[in-house]
Order: sequence, then C-alpha cells, then structure tokens
Amino acid sequence: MLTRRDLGLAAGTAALLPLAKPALAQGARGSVVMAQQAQPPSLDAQVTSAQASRNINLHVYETLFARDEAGNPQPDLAEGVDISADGLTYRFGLRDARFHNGKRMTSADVKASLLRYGRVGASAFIMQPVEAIDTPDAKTVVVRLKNPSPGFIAGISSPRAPCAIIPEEETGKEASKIEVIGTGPFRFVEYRPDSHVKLSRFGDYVQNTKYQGMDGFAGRKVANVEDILIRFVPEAGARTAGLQTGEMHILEAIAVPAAQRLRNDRTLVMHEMMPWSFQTLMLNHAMAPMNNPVFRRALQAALDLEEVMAISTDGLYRMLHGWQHPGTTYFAGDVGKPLYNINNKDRARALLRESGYRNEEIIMLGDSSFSNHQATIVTAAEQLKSIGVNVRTVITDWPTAFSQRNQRTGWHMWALMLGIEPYEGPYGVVGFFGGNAPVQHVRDEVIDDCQRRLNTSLAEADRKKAVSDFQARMYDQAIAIKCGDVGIVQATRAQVRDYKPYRIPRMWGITLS
Amino acid sequence: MAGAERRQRPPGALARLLAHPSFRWGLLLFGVVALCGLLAAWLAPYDPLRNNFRTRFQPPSELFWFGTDRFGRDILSRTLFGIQVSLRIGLGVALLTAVIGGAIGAVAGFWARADGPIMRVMDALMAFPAVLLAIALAAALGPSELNVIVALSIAYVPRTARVMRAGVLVVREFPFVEGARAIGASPARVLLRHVLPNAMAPLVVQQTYVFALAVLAEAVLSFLGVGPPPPTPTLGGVIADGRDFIQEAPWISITPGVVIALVVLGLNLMGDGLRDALDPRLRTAIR
Amino acid sequence: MWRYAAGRLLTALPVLLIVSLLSFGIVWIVPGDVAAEMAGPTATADEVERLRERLGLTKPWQEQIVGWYSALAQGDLGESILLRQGVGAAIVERLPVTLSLTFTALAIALVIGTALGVLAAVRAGQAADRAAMGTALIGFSLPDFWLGLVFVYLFAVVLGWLPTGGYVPFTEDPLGWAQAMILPAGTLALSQMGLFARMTRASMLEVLRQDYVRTARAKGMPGWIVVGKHALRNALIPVVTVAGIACGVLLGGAVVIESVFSLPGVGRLIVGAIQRRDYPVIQGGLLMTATIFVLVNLAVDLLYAALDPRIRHGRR
Repeated sequence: MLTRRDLGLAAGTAALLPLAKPALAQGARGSVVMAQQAQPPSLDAQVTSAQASRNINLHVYETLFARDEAGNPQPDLAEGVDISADGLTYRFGLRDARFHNGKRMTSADVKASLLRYGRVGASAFIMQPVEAIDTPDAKTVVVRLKNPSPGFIAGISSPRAPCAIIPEEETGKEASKIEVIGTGPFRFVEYRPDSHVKLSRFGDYVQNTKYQGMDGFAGRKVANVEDILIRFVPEAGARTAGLQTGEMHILEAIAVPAAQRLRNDRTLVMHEMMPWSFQTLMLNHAMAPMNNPVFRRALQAALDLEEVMAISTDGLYRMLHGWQHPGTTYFAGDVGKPLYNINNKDRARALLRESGYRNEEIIMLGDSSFSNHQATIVTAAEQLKSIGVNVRTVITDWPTAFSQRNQRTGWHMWALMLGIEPYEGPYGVVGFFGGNAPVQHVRDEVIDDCQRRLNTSLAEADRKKAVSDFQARMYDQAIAIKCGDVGIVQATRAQVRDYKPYRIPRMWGITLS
Repeated sequence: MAGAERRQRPPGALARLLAHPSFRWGLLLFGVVALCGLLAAWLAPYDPLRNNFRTRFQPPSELFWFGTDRFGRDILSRTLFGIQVSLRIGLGVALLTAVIGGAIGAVAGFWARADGPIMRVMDALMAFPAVLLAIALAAALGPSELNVIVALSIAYVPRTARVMRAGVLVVREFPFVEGARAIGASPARVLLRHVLPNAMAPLVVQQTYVFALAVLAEAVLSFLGVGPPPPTPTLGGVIADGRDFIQEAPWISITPGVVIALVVLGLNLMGDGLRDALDPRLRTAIR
Repeated sequence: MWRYAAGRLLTALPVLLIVSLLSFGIVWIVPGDVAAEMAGPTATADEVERLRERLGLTKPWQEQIVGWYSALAQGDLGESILLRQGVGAAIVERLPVTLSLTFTALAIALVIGTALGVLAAVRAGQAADRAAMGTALIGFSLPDFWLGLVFVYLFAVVLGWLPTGGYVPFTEDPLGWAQAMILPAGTLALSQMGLFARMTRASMLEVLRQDYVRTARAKGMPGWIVVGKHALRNALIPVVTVAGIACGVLLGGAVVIESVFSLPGVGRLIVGAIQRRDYPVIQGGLLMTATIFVLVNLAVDLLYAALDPRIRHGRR
C-alpha cells in the first residue's frame, strides 16, 4: 500500500501557512542564454512530450507533485497527500502559490487543470482511473479513483507532458491555445519562433519553504538571474561555436566529439549524464516475417549492439540490457541478460534458416530529424545485410516516419530513443508495448498482463515482479531490441555557478558571475 | 529545305567547341571528376557503406586519405560513389527538364493560342523559389534518388520551357519556316522538322547549366534531409554527415564540398564554351 | 506606357491564382501531419490520434479549401498551429530578416559584380579579365551553404571576428545588424555576384563598341570618364533587369543560408513548417514568397519599359 511515508512526506496537509514572502533572491541579475536545437511545438505544457517544450515549460509551470533528483515524486504545489487505505481516495493539501497573472492558486484551479489534462493532456490516460474531483475548501483537493491505481502520483508528477496547474480561466481552451501562465519561478515574456523564447524572473514567486535547496523539478526554486533567453539554433556546430565565443552560456546538449575536444577548456564546464536514455529498435509484429518470433530472435542474435551504440552515440554509451535504469526501484537485475547483445552471426544464420526466411524485404525506418535514430538504423541495417537479410533503409523526416510507423504495414523495424519514459519509471515503458495500440502493433497477452499487474497492484513487490516478467518476455520473444544506454553532455560556461545537470537545464539556483 | 538551312550552321561545330578554351578546361575538369565517379568501384579503397566503429572520426592519414566519418566510413570512397549519384541526378534532371520543358516551351512558342495559359502556369511555378519548391516536393514524394530527380525537374522545368519558347519564337519567323508552311506542311511537321532542330542550341546550353544547378540542389536537399536516403553516399549527404562536427572533423564536409565545386565549375565552363560555339548571340541571353 | 502596365498586371493575376492553388494543394500530398510534431517523439499512436481530432486535422479538404479562399479574400492567411501567431504576422515579423539578407546580398553582388565586370571589359583579353571572370565563375560554382559552414568556422570560431549566427534588428543596433549580416549576405551574394560580373562584362563590351563611346574616346576624353560616365550607365540597363530574377534566386538561396546562420527569416519559417507539417504556414508562406516574386518582377518589367521604350511594343 502506498502511504504518505512512501512518498517521503513529513508535514500534514491541512496546515495553511501564511503566504510566504518570496525570499528575495538577493541581487538577482544578469541574463542567461541557453541554446537548444529544436523549437517548442507548444508552450501548453499539458499537450506535448517534446523535450524542446519541456526545457521551457518546466520553468514556467509547476505540478502538484514533481520528481526529485533521483526521479521519485515529491510534493511541489501540493503540501502532501493522504491516501486512503483502499488506495481510492487521494487528499491533496495545497501550498500557497501565485500565478503569473497575480492570482492566487486555489483548489478550483487545480481541479480544472486536472480535468483539462484528462481531455487534452498528452498522457491523458493517467486521469483514466479518476472518478471525481472534489474541492472541500480552497486549499484542499480530493481525487477519488474508480480502482486502485498505484501509478497515479507517478503520472501526475511526471515531467514528460507535465500535468501543469494553470488558472481555471485558461482550462476551457483548446490544446495549445492557452495563455502561458503558470506558478513557476520564471514567467513567460515572449516567443519569437526560429529565434528565442524569453522568460523573466517572477518577482512574486512563492518558494516552497519545505525544502532547503533545489531537488529535481521539486524543491526550493530560487531564481538568481533576471532573464532567460532560450535560443533555437539548428546547427550543432553553431551552438558549440556560440558557447565558445560566449554568446551562449548553456547548451542543452553538446555533440560528444565537441565535448571531448573542449574538456580541458577552462572557460567551459562539461556535465556528463549517464544514463540519459535508451536506444531501442522497435519491431512491427504485424508484418511478415516479423510476426515470427524465430525470425525476431535471429535479428536479436545477429546485431552487434556495441557497434550500434558506439556509432549512434559518438562514443558516450553504456552496454546495459535493463528496460529500467539500474539503481531504481524497478530495475529487474539480470533478467534477459543472456539474450542481450549476443552478436553471434552463426547462431543468427541458423535461426534465420529455422524461421523459413525467404529473402523478404525488411524495411528499416529511420528519421533524419534525430541523428541518433538515423545512425542506429543505418548501422543496424548494415549488420543485418551481412547475415543475408534483404534490408531496405527508409529515412524520412519525422512526421513521415511517425505516420508510417503508426500503420500496420510498410515498415518492419524502427529506431526510437526513449529518454523520459525510463526516467519516469516502468509505467511509460511497459505502456509502450501493452494496451490497445502497442508499438509492435500486435498485442502480447503476457505483456498486457504485466501491465495490468503493474497498474493495479498495491504491493510494490507485485509491481516489481510484473516489471521483471515484462523484461523477461521482451527478451524471450524478442518483442523489441534494447541497444543500450545513451549518455548526454550538457555544457555551460564557467561563469554559470551552481549549475547542476538534470533532465533539463534548470535555470533556478544558478548565478552568473 | 531543312537541308538548306542546316548548311547555315558552320561546319565543324565540334572542332570549334574543342578549340574553345573554356570548353576544353571545363571538359577536362568535369571529365576527370566524372571518370573518378564512374570508376569508383575500382578506385575506392573501401566499401562506402561499411561501418567500423573503431575507425570513427579518423583524420586524413595514409590509410584514409580524406579521413573517416562518424560511422568510421572512408570519406574518399563515399565521395567517389557520391559523384556517381550526383551525376545521375544532374543528368536525370537535365534530360527530364529538356524533354518536358522542351515540349512545353515548343508548344507555347509555336501555337500562340496555347502560349498564354501555358506560360502563366510556368510563371506560377517559377514564382516559387526553386529550392523551396523542391524541398516541399521531395518531402511529399518521399526520399529516393528518383524522387529527387522528379522534384528538381518540376522546379526547373519553367526555365527550360522559357528558353525553348524564346528559341521557337525566333525560329518560326525564319523564311524557311514560312516556306514550309507555304507548301502545306502540317504544323506538327513544321514544328518537329524545321523549327525544333534550329531552336535546340539554346536548350543544349541551358541544360548544361541546369545540370550544374541540379548538382548544387541535390546537395541542398541532402543537407536539409530530403535527399536520397542514407546510407546512400551522395556529395550533399556527406557534407550533411559532417555538419555537426565541422570543428572536430572538418575533413568530412570539406572534401565533398570541393568536389561539388569542381563538378559545377566544369559544367559551367562547358556551358560557356557551348554557348559561344553554338550560338554567339546567346552570350547575354541566358543564365 | 499605361496600356503596357495594365496588360502586364492582367497577366500577373492568373499567375497569382495558380500560385495560390499550388500553395494550397502541395500540403495534400505531403505525408504525416503536425500532430506528430506537437505530441513529441515518444508519443503513442493513441496520444497522436486524440491530438489530431482536437486540432481539427480530420476535416475533409473541400471544407478546408473553402475556408482557405474565404479567409484569403479577407486578407487572412490563417493561424499557425505551432507558432502561437497568425501566419500573416509570422511572415511580417520575419520579412525584415529575409529582406535584409536578400538586399544586402543583392547590394554586395551588384557592387562587386559590376566592378569585376567593368574591370574585365576594360581589360578584355588580358590577365585581369581572366582573373575577374575566373573569380566570377568560381563564385557561382561553390555550394553556398557549405561555404557558410566553413565561414562560420573560420570567421566566428577561429578568428572570432563575427558572431556565429542570429539576427540583430537594424533599428536596435545598426552595427550589430551589420556584423550579423556580413557573413550570411556575403555567402549568399557569391553566386549572383558572378552572374552580374558576366552580364556587366558582356554588355559593357557591346557598349564600348558603340559609336558614341568611340567618339568620346577620339575626342581625347580620359578613359575612366568614358567608362564611368557613358559606357557604364548604358551597360547597366540589362543588369538591372536581371536583378528581379536575382531577387528570386536570392530568396531561394536564403532558405538554406538562414538555417546555417540561425536567422529567423521567411525561408527558415517555411522549411521549418514543411518539416513540422504546420500546414497554414506552408501554404501562406509559399503564397507570400511567390507573390513577392511576381510583384518584384512586375515592378522590374515596368521599370525596364520606362527605361527602354522598345519593350512596350512587341511580344516579350
């Protein structure tokens, strides 16, 4: 059973603190420039799971719960939560917070935001178990569920497509049509497409006094810089050059060879993060011969995943079989490991023969929008060619590749990097392969059962078993192929003080010297 | 009568062409690069598609004269095979636009009634920047060498049609054309037998430039990710492979860029020579 | 003159109509849609399908084409799905960038191109001629985006003289604007510079053979005055007329140069919209650039007709 204590909460929920004076960020000054490749597809935090949006939105919006440094849910806009013994009633006390339009946040805003998330939210399914939301008073929200759903707090605390709390007046608006108003430490100033987004320190920000310092996306957020400029620079070389010349202070990601070259540059600091994401190869079980597990096992045996990883990450990788990150609650140990990175061409050829493969064309789908996707597909295709698989690589732009892979035909294998999902925990990862529309297009009953057990079991041990069974099935049936863990390097200029790398570059807590 | 006017063309056009210094240099330049491309299978020291993660980002050395890319593939081999692809695309576009644009232009120039509507459509197509139109079409058609040829051909057809039309407009007023009409030759026969052969020269010159433009445009499309799909070695594609590493591994992008410049320079020089040799009046009219 | 202008304007109208049809139609053959972009790379099929419905992407095309033309009639290009602004506003916001880039490039190309052309014509057949024409030829044989990459590396990183990219509005900081423009405009100018040099040389040679020039020379007028005052003025007329076409070529070239130098211009707007399937922006952006091209050429034609009466009569 999930209780408050499991969530690491201490304080009671009903205590109404007087509106804490914003601890004046003494001498907040300076303008920090961060550069990223892509532009945000939306500044409506609820509707998009794009990293380019997240980098901006998580400075502007906040959520009831947010993930801490280790990825566990902690109260952010909520004071805490009381969960009933049957796991059906969640009572959230709300802390003081103020929206960027000056309005105080109340339970009505929270209720309306949660309901909107169920309508337009990218991960709207997290609201599925919700039966009703009540607001007994301005500082309390009670969520009643239809069935026990231990992943509920994980869901509403996820930064993937954040369940952001916005003013009630905005919640009636369609996806992407809202005014950009949140409760975060920075407020939205302007968006110049193809150029930049500008954020400014929110003077009336109410800090979360429960915490001493910053902690993941939760904690105490102190804005020490006056303005943030997030610039969109499509060329990686230009971003690196901008960092070197001082035009930019922070890079969301720097190319690995550039990071290696600049490692000893005293004016710069490289922040390596490992693991950042998974590199995977998704398989379409609806297309022959991929519907044959023996054929899939042949591919599993054939691939030299180390080569795939070394090339697609430019050298920053870790060979690891787990479908969860090691050191986290749901890491399943050595399950499936013997079937990971087999790299045995003879065994692969034997399996290929056994599968009755008759030289059918295998379409390998990649996209040019993410260079690691493209590199993964290209490398894997060359390897499969060498054991006699008739491959054709199809590299398109992202929307074409995406619409293609949502079809049951026209593709066999597709490269996808999963970053935020494994960070979130098991729900998103298992969800990819389970449910009505699994990525492999053919439902697998064992995985569906694992997903059901994960989503409804109140005991953590049962849920861990479900994830472990999921991982076993992934390897045994070669449902999809995990290539390895991908690292990332964030880069800052040395004058950016107290920068702590995380899933997004966080602009609170830092100072410019 | 056709024979009579054919004699008007000075004999030995080829000899005159070869005597033209621009053409000679252009042919030499283009010829050497094209030959390297044609013989890629023999000249290339490595398989242009073979990955090797142990040789990633190697600078130029004895083993890899022009270095390697992020896949550990040999840049020299990829560039040599890339020449093949670029030349196929350039030639394909030049031929396709010559046939389609030539036909459109001939019809527009010959039949005054068709002229207005046809040229308005051509004007409309030409109003879009060619590169932009090609990007949109290439994205729409999907990535393949053939689709790149089709997209670029649609983008460049109006130019060819205009040149052909201008030529036909001039030639159809010539006395021998009037003569053919007077003796009752059908319009189609007049167009095909008398007008077209004499209106060809400007087209030939123009297509040399279209060839060059297509080689440059392939590079742009590949750079923007809508060229022939990776891992196909194309000159533009190799530049694109190196774009993220221009400081760390400049050799990746530099080599194919220089080769493109050589091909295009050669073609432009040849075009200049052709223009002077075939039709001196064109000196200022096109390009 | 007025009759010529009216006739010329009349031919522009059907062109604009076809342009608008093509602009509308092109998105219907592009696979995929904006929901894939908005939902994010790891969105599931379910998530995207829901978003498509919410965004109204499931409407039939007949309904959409009626909407497009009725909005157009009111001068409305529609709303961008991703940019939080109207398509018209998005284009107007970027026009200064693209026009800065295009016209700076045009100016550089004209000045250097004609100078090279004049030099070559005056020294026809000599080493200076060959050097100038060789430079011109190399200018339009180089892939410009590639040169852009090399220039960023050389001038911004190695030498540190100029910024790596980005745009500074002229009204805010003229010096910063100039610094931001010099590399992209210089890169873009190269190909048209070569063209202008060749045009100038050819027409200059023709003019230099004319009687009045020879007379002026015979009268003992200094060479540079003959060239500067009599010959150049006449030689430039055909050069000016290609400036209209050059404008179109430069607008096209700006597309990729804007990406290389991170300039928020119209070209990058449209390419980005194509890549992300922001249909209203693709349609409106293509329509606007094509219309600008048609109008510029209309203006150039009228200017030419005003300069040279022979044009007004007879078929183009």
